[in-house]
Amino acid sequence: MDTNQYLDLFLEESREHLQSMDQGLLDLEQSHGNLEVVNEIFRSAHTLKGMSGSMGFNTMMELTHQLENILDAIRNNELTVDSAIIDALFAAADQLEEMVERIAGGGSDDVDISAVMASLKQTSGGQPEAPAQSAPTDSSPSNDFLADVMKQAADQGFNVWQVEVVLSKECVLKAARAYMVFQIVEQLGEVIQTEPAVEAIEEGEFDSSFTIKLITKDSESDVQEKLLSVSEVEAVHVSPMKNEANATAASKQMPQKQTAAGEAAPKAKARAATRTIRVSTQRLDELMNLFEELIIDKGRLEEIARQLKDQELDETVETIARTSGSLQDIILNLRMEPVEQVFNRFPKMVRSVSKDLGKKINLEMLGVDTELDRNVIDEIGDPLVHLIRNSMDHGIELPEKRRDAGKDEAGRIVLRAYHSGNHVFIEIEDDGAGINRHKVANKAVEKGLISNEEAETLSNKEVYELMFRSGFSTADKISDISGRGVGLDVVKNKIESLGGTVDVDSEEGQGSIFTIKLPLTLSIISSMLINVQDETYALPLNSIVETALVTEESLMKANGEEMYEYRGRMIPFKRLNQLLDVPGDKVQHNKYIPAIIAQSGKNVACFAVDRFIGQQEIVIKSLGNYLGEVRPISGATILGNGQVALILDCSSMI
Amino acid sequence: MAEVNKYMVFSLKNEVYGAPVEQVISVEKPMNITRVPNTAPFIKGVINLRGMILPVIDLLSKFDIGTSDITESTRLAIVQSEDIRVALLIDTAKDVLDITQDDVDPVPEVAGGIHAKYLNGVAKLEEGLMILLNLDKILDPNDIEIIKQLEV
Repeated sequence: MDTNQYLDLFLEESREHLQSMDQGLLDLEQSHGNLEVVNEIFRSAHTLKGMSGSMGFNTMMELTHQLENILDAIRNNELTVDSAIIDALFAAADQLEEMVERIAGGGSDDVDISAVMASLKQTSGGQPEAPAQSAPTDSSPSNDFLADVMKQAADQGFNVWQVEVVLSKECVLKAARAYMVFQIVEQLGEVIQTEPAVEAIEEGEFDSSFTIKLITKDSESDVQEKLLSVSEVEAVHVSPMKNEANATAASKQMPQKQTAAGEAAPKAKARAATRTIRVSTQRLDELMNLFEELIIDKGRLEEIARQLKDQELDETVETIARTSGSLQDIILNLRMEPVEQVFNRFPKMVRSVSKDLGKKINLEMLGVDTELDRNVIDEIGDPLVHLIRNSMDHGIELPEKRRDAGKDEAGRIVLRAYHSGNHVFIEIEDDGAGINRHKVANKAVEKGLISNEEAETLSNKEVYELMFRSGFSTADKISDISGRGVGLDVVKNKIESLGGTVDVDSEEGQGSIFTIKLPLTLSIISSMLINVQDETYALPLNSIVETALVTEESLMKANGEEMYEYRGRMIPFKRLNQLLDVPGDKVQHNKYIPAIIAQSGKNVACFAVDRFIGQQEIVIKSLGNYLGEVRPISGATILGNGQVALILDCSSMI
Repeated sequence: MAEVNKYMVFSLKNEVYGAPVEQVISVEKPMNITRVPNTAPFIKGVINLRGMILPVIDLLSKFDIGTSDITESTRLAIVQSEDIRVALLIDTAKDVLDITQDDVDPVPEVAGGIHAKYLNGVAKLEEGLMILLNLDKILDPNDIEIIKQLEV
């Protein structure tokens, strides 16, 4: 078999299965051996084994086989789940991940697995080979799980029937008939167990009859009648199953297949199938580029329509504007992915880091289906890792300390994502010690970031902000995790490069909360166009607080700098024509100077312009590699008349 | 047989220059140039070339031998070096000529006031001399970084 064309598929599916395996292992650790969870993990391992085998990755197959054996032993109650087993399973999962990444990088799965294999074998008590799986032979229900489900079913007024379906001796297409039976049965209710296994039945591997245990609201006769409608079904025997008997007759065997929703209310549930197609991100980028061209042309049309003042043209342009607005929403949505993609690697990280730190930490993740632009998703991972590690290292205290403080020994970190307006917020909240103002302030003085007086007068919030300055770290000792002084300032830079902001708040003894605010999209923004002499500039709307008309008399001077009083607070007043060395000396004779009040983080400033043009959606274009970074310009855009306008970066001007 | 290279010939303030033809993408009519503040003086600004933002370079100012005037007859030569694309201000684009390596003299330290590192040499033609530009060196972004630092 030429396997190359399947390689991408293999890699993608392997990653998915490894991810669900990781999740499963974490659940397993939490639930202390919930069999349903073991089954989930087993299924992932089993699929991985099959896939790696058919792709010819034998080392990977060997390892997954060993994993399977252990999981099998666990679900047969031959092994009890303890931390040693969990650790060994995690190690094996890590090793598998490494293999997959090596294969993705063009290598082979040839990794030394002897250490992992040895630890796996050791945990399974020197019994590497699991007993052969045999289907239960009696008709009694098979385990606690089953009994549990049946009890719930009975409580909710469902019937539990044992249905024996006998096919006619002449039946040639046993598999097809069995399939039809299952189609009907699944409409009737929930199948909790079959004998032989579903897979075997669907392959036609049974003599002439098979048994289904079914939870349904339908009566005995209804079930019988409906199943008899399948041709070549000779007889259907429906008999009730007693709960009391079930509970006591628990055996060690697990059913080969059971529906995952078994513990929920048993009701017929249609398999949710959303129809999707895979599209490469490159094509989405192309689509976006073309759309940007369209936006620029739309701007040009609007300009022409303004000049011509033709009603029909105006109406058409308006329609185009509306349509392109909807189109923009859709295209931007196409590029959106749930933050889950980034979040799902954190539980494992928190687990291993908290072990290293000797702390007990529970991670809670909320709003994992919040969506973000694909490009942001790719970039936001590292800053989040850093912030979470920071909370684990500096935030959450050691268990003894927490107990003394009257807190739960296990610390709690909440990772929360949500939409608000045109932004996505991600919060990292911990219930740890909080930020010690004095410690931070002292450190900042020591590092020469602030003076002694400032240390006294700054507000708490301002002190916390100091932690984002470069070269700042308050860890008492340098640990492996954070506190190397390359921490929060890097996080801040990264987030700002994505057009976002990061903020921190804290209450001593209660915990801290870091809030990241990110724009929904990166390439099209709302902006305010302004004139400075004859030049046109764009200011991103999200940094503008308001526009104002300022009189020369209202300005004050402090240290030679012009200041403006804004809501009882003195803010710097800067003239853009000076800031940007704009040529031209047209004197404005108006009494009022048009000005823009802009904000970056905590800082507010007032910028004098010559004329407001108005709001416009603009497409951000880079100035290119040649010019590099030009302050305070963050990019350029093409206006309706084809001219280039520069986009001002408020944060570097304030 | 000596090596032959094709050069696009253009004039700029009474001098004749040649740019390697494979690095010249197009010659455009003058268009609106948007000034960029706080950058090197030889950057005249940026233009919109069919949706792409390109910096405009004044070669004379880059070579420190004067400044170009922008008139009706000014043209923009769009040139490229690796992934960098810029527009050069030129007076008139003339021709494409085959230059045999034998006709090219290496340049001394400075030729016509231009630092030798920006040049591939000087070619002797019947009509006179032609200064051959080394676009890879001229478009080196590190060059602009140094100049920007000197400015600050």
